[in-house]
Amino acid sequence: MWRRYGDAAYGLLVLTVFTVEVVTLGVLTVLFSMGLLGRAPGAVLGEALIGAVGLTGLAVLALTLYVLVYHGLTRSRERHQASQLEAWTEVWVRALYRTGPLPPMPLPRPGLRAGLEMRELLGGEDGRAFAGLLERAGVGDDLLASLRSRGRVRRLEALDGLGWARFPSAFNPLLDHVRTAPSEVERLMASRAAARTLAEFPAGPERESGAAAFAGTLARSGLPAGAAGEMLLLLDKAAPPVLERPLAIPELPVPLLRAGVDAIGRLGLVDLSEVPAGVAAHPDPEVRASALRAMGRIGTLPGDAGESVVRSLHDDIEFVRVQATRAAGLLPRRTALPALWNGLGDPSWWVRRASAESLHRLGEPGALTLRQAAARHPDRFARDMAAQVLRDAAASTGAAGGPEEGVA
Amino acid sequence: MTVWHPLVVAAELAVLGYFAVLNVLYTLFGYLGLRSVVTEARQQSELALKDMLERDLEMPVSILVPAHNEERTIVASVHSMLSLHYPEFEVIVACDGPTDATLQRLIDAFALVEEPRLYRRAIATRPVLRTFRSLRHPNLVVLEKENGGKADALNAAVNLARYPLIAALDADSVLDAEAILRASRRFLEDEAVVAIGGTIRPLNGAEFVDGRVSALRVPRRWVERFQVLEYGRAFFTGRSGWSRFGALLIISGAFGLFRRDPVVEVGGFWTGTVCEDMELVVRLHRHYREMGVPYRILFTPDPICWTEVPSTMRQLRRQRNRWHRGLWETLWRHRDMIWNPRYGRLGMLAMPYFLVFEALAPVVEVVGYVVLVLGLAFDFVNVPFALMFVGLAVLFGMLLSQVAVGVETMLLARYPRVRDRGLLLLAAVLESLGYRQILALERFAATFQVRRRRGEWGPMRRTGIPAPQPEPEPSPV
Repeated sequence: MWRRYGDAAYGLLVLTVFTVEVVTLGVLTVLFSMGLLGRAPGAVLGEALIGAVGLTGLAVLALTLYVLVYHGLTRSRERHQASQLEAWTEVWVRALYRTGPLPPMPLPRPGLRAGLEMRELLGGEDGRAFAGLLERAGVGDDLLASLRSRGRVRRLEALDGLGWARFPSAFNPLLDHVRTAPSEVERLMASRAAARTLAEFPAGPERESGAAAFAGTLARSGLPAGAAGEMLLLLDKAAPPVLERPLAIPELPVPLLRAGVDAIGRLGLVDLSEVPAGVAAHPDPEVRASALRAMGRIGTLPGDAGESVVRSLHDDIEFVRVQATRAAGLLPRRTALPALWNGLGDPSWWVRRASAESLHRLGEPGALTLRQAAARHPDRFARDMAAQVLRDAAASTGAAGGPEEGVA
Repeated sequence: MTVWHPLVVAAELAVLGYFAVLNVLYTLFGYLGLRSVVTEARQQSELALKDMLERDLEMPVSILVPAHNEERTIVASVHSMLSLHYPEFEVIVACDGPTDATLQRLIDAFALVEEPRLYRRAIATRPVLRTFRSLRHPNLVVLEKENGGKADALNAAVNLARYPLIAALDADSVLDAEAILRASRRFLEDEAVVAIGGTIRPLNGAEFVDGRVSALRVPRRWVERFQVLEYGRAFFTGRSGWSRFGALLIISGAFGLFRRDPVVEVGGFWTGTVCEDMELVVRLHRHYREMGVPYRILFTPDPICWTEVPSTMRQLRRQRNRWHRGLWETLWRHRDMIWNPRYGRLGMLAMPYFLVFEALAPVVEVVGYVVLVLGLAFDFVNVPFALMFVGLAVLFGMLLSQVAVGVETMLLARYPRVRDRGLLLLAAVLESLGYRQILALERFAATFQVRRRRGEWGPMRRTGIPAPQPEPEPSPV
């Protein structure tokens, strides 16, 4: 972690020093080249060299002084701020319990930090009440004004602050910022702050309309799929209305579709399980794998999704077969057990492993099949894998266990 | 003198040009590196890390620890790795045919029991003899294998790794608690990222609590202090700069995070070199460039790993000799990339830079010293000019060191005392008075030992970090 002040000034100092040095080196090189070819008198070269040594010495001195002064100043400043932070926390606690007045704006840095940290700490109704208090104190307006600042550093700090604060009034400006921010970092931070804010909206029409706006903005944000997926997971209870919308867009980019399907699985959204089921036969193997993984995580195979799972067990792509094998545990036992028995003999190590683990998760019938596989599966590698998973299971439960007979 | 004069002029012009270009490149990458650090500092969000931890957004990581004879440090290192702040990870220690008590120390400290383990042998390695699991830490796996070198041990650990990300760590490394969390974020946010290197800082002189660095003090010996400066220059300016330029060639073996699949795809760590970290990164670059697939290999200054640096000149010379031989081995293996436009800025800038200004630098430097001495002896060097020129070179070296010291000052975990800062500033002056020359001579010698000493590591003596309090015996079941 870095100190976030004094670095820009240091960067400027280093840029100045380096520019001077590069120019000096250039001049010196030209002069010495001319001197070696007999076209520059020795006295000029001597003066140039002395000048270069002097300038470099000054540059070293300037940097040294900056470092020492910065070190000394930051040390005393941080000691002061640490004590201020404690005092400001007390101020906010008193304001929250109405035993003290709201602090006047503009807040010093420790005052803002103490308030935002307290906001993050307080959950539910208390948190929302404290957010209202921060807004009444003017923190929201202040951060939104900083968001419109021309200085990138100020904007980044404002976005971070709004992410902690989760002011409902900042939601739309944050979405605007996702749409208009010049850099990906700002779009990412604005999306995070907006997602966290939306997650705080109580159920109702406001959350619905917010979800619609968020979904549209995220789909067009140009954020990498991983980042978009992260934002979806931050939505918590506000996720379903958001996820329904972009996934219904036919021209949705494949990476976003994958991120959305993945989020449904990770959030365990049973009501949306039709969505992964609907794309389980998608032409893109990554989407197929995401869909199968999502269904596996949700723990249900809606409609005719079981057929997709069975079909995917024979997919040409290894990672699709792995996910299908994991989801196969959700098939009816009479289908799952023989499918997973066959999976133990798959050429892929990962599919064999997934098959054995799925069997183990099926409870006693699966464990029995696994023990039988360890003993008499026709494929040697299948026997080995079954034995290994039985050993792992025994180790994790501390119980004695193992194959019925002989470990390969 | 008439006969020799054109030759002397040509040599002086060449040295001057070399000096000028080298220092301009140093300044360029120094500035790019500093900008990268400043930008990263601004873009970091504690909120993002908090969300990642609370919502299980992370990608699970397998931490790979190759260990040969590490009996002094291994227990403390593994303890420190097991106490990382990360929701899902495993630690795989690959004991590479140790001849000391490394394995026994692990067995005793972590209650290891032997257990056969089935794994996919995706990369060929020397035979794995035994695998162990811990009765206390379900996420600790230890394997014992026939000695095959660090790269071979890493490959064996890669084979056992279960997770999509792998972190290659030295057995004497200590990670900041959130180092993996900070580094792995980048993989989550950008699918094109295949590898990330973090900052390595010397742990000599540091104080520890529960296997974590709790306080920093500048080390006692000057040889260690000089290395604090060197690591600062290398990581806060050099690697940051190359990364910003999109041509990072080195991710330190002490701490690097990779996607597992590409590492397996390119064949794992190459066992034919003593610089397997750089070689793997070059091979990953090469692989993706040849495939025409977008990818990113990054350095990020924030995740910090502490490592024990040699505390005597003898050990340091041995280490630098090995590094330099490794550099030559890597450049030789991938020599067709150098000046090859097919590899973009990597082939046209980074690889030539490493050849001309890193691999050949000690040769130029030593030849320069020899010419200077001969020139003084035979009176064809202007003494005041030569002295001023040397002074300029020394001051320029100090300038680059001071930039790195300045960056270190901005770290929250910096050397806290003003006295320490003064010592580091003084070290920047003193390192040019003998230290650099000794290392230049060692690297010069290494240049001519590449073939003869191929794959030779040489022993490393560790002081070791203090181990945390022993864990209580598990209650009988």
